[in-house]
Amino acid sequence: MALQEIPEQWRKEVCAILRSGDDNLIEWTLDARTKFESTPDALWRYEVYQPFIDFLSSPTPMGCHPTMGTPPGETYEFYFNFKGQRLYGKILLRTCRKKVVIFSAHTPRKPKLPCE
Amino acid sequence: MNIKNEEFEVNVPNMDGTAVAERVKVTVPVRWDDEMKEWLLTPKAHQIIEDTKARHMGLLLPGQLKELRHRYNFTQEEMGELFQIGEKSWTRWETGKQRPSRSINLLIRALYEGEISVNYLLKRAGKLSQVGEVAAISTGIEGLFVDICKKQTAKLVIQEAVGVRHSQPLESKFTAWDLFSNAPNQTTFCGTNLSRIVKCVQPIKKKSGQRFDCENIDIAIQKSA
Repeated sequence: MALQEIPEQWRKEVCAILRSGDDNLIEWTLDARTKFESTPDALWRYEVYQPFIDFLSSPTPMGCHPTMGTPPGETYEFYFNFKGQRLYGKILLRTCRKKVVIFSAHTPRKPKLPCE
Repeated sequence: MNIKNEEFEVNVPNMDGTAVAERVKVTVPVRWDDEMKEWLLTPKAHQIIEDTKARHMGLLLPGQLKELRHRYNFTQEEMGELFQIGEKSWTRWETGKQRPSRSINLLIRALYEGEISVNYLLKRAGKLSQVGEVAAISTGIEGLFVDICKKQTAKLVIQEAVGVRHSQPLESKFTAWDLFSNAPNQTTFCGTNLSRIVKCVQPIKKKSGQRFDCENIDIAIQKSA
């Protein structure tokens, strides 16, 4: 597992779901929401969707594709910019490809991504 | 579906957003997702967290914004125009999809609590003042009645006045609320008994929501013209 460009198809599908802002399509784990709440400048959950989209829409967004111990679907983890600070994000696109689960959107705990 | 309640600590920021002013504990519903092997927040949980934060920040809640709009019988688009905000912002706030900023909330709350008048905002939004007779609205509906009754073009004046105010013809927007709250002593409207108009407006308004027609009002205008 190495740092790689996040596949365009995955990015397109995830961005479309994030743009909807729909709580039925964008799910958060309890842990992710708890950590997001403690992140500086994190006020409302929807505020993180556009920074996610901005990062995933950039020319060559790089991230890790964890496969071991991940639930069904396709997961990527990456660093992205949120209100001038670097955050760690981890998003799963469910197998139905209609919903995402946000596993992480918080201040990084480690200096590097697991695959770096 | 396996649902349980979980404690969640909501961080309420201080005025300039540089620090946490308060931590409030709430209970939120979470559901077990077998596929994820994780507890996920339900939409209701997000709403509880963010409503709590909004309330502690002094922001109006989605239900209060809706109540305010209904008070004046405005559409979401008209509220957007009133506060000079983006076309869909009001809709997003009213559905809780997004929240107003603290600064715009100050203005909305001032209207909600009756500290400023809707006519003031309409005037600032350029919705009130181009037509001479419209000034009567800012001094109350009673003034408008008196004013238009003196004129031969009553129908035109009323339609222009309300058109400027609401971007709608009179019969779509004139409510019993307007009549009672602004003209408590008014008994006739250009020779038509006012109580008849009031009786007409209320039930029709309830039936068809934002838009309604009121034949009696129309008849009253026709008579006066």
